[in-house]
Amino acid sequence: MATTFKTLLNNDVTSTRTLLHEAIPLTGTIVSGTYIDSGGAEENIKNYAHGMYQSVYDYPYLSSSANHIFDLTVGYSDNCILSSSTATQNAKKINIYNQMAQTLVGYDDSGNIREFDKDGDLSGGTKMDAAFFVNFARLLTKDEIKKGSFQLSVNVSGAYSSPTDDITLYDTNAQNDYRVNSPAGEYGILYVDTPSGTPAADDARGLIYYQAGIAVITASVFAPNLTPTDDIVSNHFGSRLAPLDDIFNGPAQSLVSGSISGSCNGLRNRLTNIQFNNTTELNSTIYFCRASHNEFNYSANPTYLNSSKIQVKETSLDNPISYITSVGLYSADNELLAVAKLSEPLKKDPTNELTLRVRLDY
Amino acid sequence: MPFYEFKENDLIYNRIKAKPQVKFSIYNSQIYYKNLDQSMVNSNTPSGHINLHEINVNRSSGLAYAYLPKGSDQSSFRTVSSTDYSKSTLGDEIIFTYPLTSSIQREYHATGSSRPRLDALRNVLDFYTPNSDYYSYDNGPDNGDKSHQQVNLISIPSIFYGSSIDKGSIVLDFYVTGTLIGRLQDVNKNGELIQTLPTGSEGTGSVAGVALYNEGFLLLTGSWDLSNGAHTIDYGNGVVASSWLYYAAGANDGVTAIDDDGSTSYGLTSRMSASYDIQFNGINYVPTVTMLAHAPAGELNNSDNYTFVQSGSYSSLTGSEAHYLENHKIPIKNIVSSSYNGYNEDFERQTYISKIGVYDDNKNLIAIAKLATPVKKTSKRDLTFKLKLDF
Repeated sequence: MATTFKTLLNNDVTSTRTLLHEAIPLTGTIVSGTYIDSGGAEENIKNYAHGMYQSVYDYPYLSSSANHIFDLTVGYSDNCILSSSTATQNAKKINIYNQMAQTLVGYDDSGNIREFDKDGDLSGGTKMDAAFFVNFARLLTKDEIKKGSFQLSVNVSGAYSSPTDDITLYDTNAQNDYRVNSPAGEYGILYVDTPSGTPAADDARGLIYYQAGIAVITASVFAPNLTPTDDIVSNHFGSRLAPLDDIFNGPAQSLVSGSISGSCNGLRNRLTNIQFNNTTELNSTIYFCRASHNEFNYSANPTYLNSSKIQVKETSLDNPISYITSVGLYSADNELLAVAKLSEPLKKDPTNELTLRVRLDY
Repeated sequence: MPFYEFKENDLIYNRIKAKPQVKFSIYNSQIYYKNLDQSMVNSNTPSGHINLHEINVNRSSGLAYAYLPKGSDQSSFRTVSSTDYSKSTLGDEIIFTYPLTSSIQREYHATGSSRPRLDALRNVLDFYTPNSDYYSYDNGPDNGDKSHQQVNLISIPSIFYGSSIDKGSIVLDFYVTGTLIGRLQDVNKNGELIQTLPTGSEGTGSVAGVALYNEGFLLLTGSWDLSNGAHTIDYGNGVVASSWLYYAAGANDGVTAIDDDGSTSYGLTSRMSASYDIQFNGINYVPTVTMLAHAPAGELNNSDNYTFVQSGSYSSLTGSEAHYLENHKIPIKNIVSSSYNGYNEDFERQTYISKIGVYDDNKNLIAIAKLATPVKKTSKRDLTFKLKLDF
């Protein structure tokens, strides 16, 4: 129990923020092919009865050791030429797209849901009206994905038993060039095979939302021979698939005739690598607790006794001495809020002054 | 949807005192926690360890790691030495590798050796001397002086036990070739670890050490020969008689497994012949709040569920730019069950409650309690639901 209080003034308190990062590599073997049971089912992939997305874990999900790493789903806009009443799970694919778009892109002046834009300029230009969505778990993204650190490698041709044409999407130069016109925070453009430098606008293949932790990858990524001319013809980037329902080498797994989980399997089994760095913001308040030469030289500690009497001096000329072992931080009402302990007691007498730096992390 | 405010008597704050059982088995420098080899589940978790926040499950390479770019604020990790920090330049990644795991650790202190960790426990040990004189750091019974004598210190991280170790629950078993040669228990629940088995053998009834229940330490000082001269064993410090000083040898103390050190000394004199069990209960407090949600008679007899009205009843609504009019005579479906075949019971207002939402002061839904089966609510019926929330 303290007997002496000292008020902290403005210049005794300061706030700091430290950014802590983690490097998160997710190899293709984690998301497919490693945990297959005797029946051929992947034990780290959870598909739901509603069939609207699938969850990917880094270990068989029935184990308590498993971590949820991302959810995977696919959808297209109602305006997309893939949309048709005969398409499998057509309404669900549209609902998925709309839900993601209204959260990540928002609404226009007329109250309509905006579509994902190829270059982030929502006033016009090429739209992505069919896309895959990779929603990373907060366990991995923490406060946000670090800009400029995202990479996603995927094979874009061939059956997924023998895929070919490995491409890598980078959020090239995103630390200097990112968009802020999303209601879900900042986002960058994913460019194909351009790890550095200034990427060409036509190399854009998706978007990465840093705070939301969501990658949006256009379905056109599976049309490796896509040319800029193709984009211009349709003005609908995502659906420029040639041919439309050949996206995964066969109708059974196509974006049109396949189920959402089937399309997700198609993408997941072609992923060869995902890696990014995350960011955790550590906010701290630092209190500089200053003990002047004439302060805190006495103690209320019961051990501060000699023969059952409080005695700090042998003679009247002796200096008082105390040992500081902890610092209490009190509210304005003198309620003890926090206690800082020193690793070893500090000797305090009138010949010295101390400044104890107390850091409180949130 | 109606809202009801919890009254003072509807909220009961409580605390559950859970006592999870913990068991470590140690054999040939290998620790097994809860009779399992943790590395069999996750190759990045050594056996006998708890993984604190593992995101590298079962990976052999390409592990996730944390890093800080070196800046001007001097931030770093505690595992990085000041020399390494100084060598790095601004912008360099200061790396902190994963995984982070935790396990028990044994430290053996020979007579007169330096023992900084034990010295750090001096005040704590002396604090408990009112419970037992055996806690005394340097003035214990039988000339006990923990600052100088042989001491076997076993540290148990709090992640294994919670708030504290349950008093009296500690059981330390010492086996040689599968035969129990000693058991320690705190039969008096005062922290003294007293040898209780084998009955009638040397040391039984004597205090072999003390337990720090709140701090998670076991200090063993019992040096008598547990084998009554039957054998001697190399516990990593030369061939000696088995005693509590060598209990748990191999528990993260640098004593290597026999297969690892190239020794050929199998058999009774080998430390492979010794094994140890550490058992205790932790104490873990779980705060709970119990909420009593009342459904009074005459209320909660209406539902917004589409199935509450007769099929097709919603078709009769009209609207225009000027008005929106819903049919105010929508017939409610009579779901009163009849005991007779082909007979409809008289209509009664009746609903089925399937879940209860808990809202905060600002009407934010913060929790939903779901019933295993919907409960029938009639206008004559009072119901009270008991909701429990654990933290």
